Amino acid sequence: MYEAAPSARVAFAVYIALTFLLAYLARRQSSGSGFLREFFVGGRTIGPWVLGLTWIATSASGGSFIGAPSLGHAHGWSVMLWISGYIVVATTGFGLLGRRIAELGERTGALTFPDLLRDRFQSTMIGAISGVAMLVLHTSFIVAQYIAGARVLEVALGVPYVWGVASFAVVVGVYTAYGGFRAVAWTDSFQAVVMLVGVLLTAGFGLYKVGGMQAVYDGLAAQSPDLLSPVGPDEFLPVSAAISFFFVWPLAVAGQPSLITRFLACKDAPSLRRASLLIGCYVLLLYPAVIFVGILGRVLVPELAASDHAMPATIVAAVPSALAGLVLAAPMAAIMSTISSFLLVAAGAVARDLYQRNARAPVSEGQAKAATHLSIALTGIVAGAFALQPPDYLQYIVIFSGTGLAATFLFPTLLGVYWTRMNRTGCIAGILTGFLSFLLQYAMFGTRSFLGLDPFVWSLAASAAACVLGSKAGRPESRALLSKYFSDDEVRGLET
Amino acid sequence: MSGSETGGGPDSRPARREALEAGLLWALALVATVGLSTWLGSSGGAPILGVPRWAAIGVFGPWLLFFLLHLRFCRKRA
Repeated sequence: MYEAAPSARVAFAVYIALTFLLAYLARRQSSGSGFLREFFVGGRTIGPWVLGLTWIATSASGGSFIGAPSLGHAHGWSVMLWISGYIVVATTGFGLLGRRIAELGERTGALTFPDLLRDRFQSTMIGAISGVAMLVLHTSFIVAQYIAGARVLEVALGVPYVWGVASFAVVVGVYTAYGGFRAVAWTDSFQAVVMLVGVLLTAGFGLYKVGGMQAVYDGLAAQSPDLLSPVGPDEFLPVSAAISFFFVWPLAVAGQPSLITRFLACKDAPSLRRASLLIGCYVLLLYPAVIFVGILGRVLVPELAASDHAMPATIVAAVPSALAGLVLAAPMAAIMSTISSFLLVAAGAVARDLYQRNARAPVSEGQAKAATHLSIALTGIVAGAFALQPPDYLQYIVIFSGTGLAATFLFPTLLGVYWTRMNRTGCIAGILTGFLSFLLQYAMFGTRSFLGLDPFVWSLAASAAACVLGSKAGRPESRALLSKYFSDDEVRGLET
Repeated sequence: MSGSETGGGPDSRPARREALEAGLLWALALVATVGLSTWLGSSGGAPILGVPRWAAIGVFGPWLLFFLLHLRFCRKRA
């Protein structure tokens, strides 16, 4: 078994303390613009650096830091092709929806993602359906993050798995409930820096320890030549799967409600552009290095006690013990930043979308605050309970919940904000078709549906078709409503 | 934050144009990366600096190219 030196525990404790300190400082910077506006979108004052770093820290989850390197360890260089959709993730993530969502957030005052859809179509049903779908899929994503975090604590500090899950639930739940979006964004930014530094150090030290790139190549070739091929051992990545994952990463990220919410918090248009530039640079440095850590881990630590141990085991084997604590904080940072953002979105789904906006009597600020904190606690407890039975490969839960969210919401959102003829019938049809067709395909075919493609690809197509057909069948939205979202020219175009 | 406006709500057309460009870049990256990697993967060849040839040309090549296109995309939006 692999275990880090005691100095790792100290570095780890310092990292957690710094995270809490940042949450405290962020709360002191509160804009005083009302609890819900401050808690869910940071008073819409988030600038480019924090916006870019919180966006990337949220999208780079425990799946990226624990699951993906484990796949690299098991399947070698083919995982570099598997992850290659990240080539355009900054372009699609910001280009498809960023500018438009930021404009509409400011114009309509939307605080959460379901707010946007509900107000665009004046439908409480859409708010409720999207709130429930988000709650279910975000909770399963949080389960994956708890598992990843507990795995790191297990390997790095020898903490029993169950205690690892519990400590994650408490630590992240507390600072999220305490500081809301601003604290999450600030701690995310710190964690994004820790992630990048940690991964680059691990890759550098690992490469040095193995003896250079050619030694990694030779080490893999000696174990199995399949580890060097684009398909990988046991037909891991046939062409249909490679195509599927080029849909999965860029489009699933673009359709994540937790990331779309970041655009609602953006200060102005130049901040959005600079954040997008920052993310392009960050992704280029981070993702190839993350996968490479798993690949060289196969040479450095060929045998693992559990498949998801590849990243922490490589860190412990490659990085000098004095630095191991700092570097082990990298996967922790990825996990914590994602959990906090998802807890915030799940809490928003309950407190804002299911409770406040459906309440018969006006909800006071105190009641909204209590509902928000209670939802964070309940989501954490439920996700923690599910995490007690971990699967073999964490990455599969991450892909399931991430692609499920995007299959459900990407096209209803895209068409809702760009297409004047989209109406509530189309939106409901798109959400339900995306969500149900995704679940049905997973239940019937697993991860490979028709033509060997991922269920996500077909669900996206089905959701898009349902949006269009539903909009043709339903009643058009009123001109007064459309005038809030589109220019007069565009609304007039409807009559021609 | 609002884009160019012609009365009523914000004009969606500039953002829609950006979205279409982003979609086009995604499609080109898909064809280039999966196409090149599959083609070079089946033909073998010596590694480049310890990286399998298909990954060096088929993944890292497009990654750098599309990174540059992303920079241009962001500058154009300014």
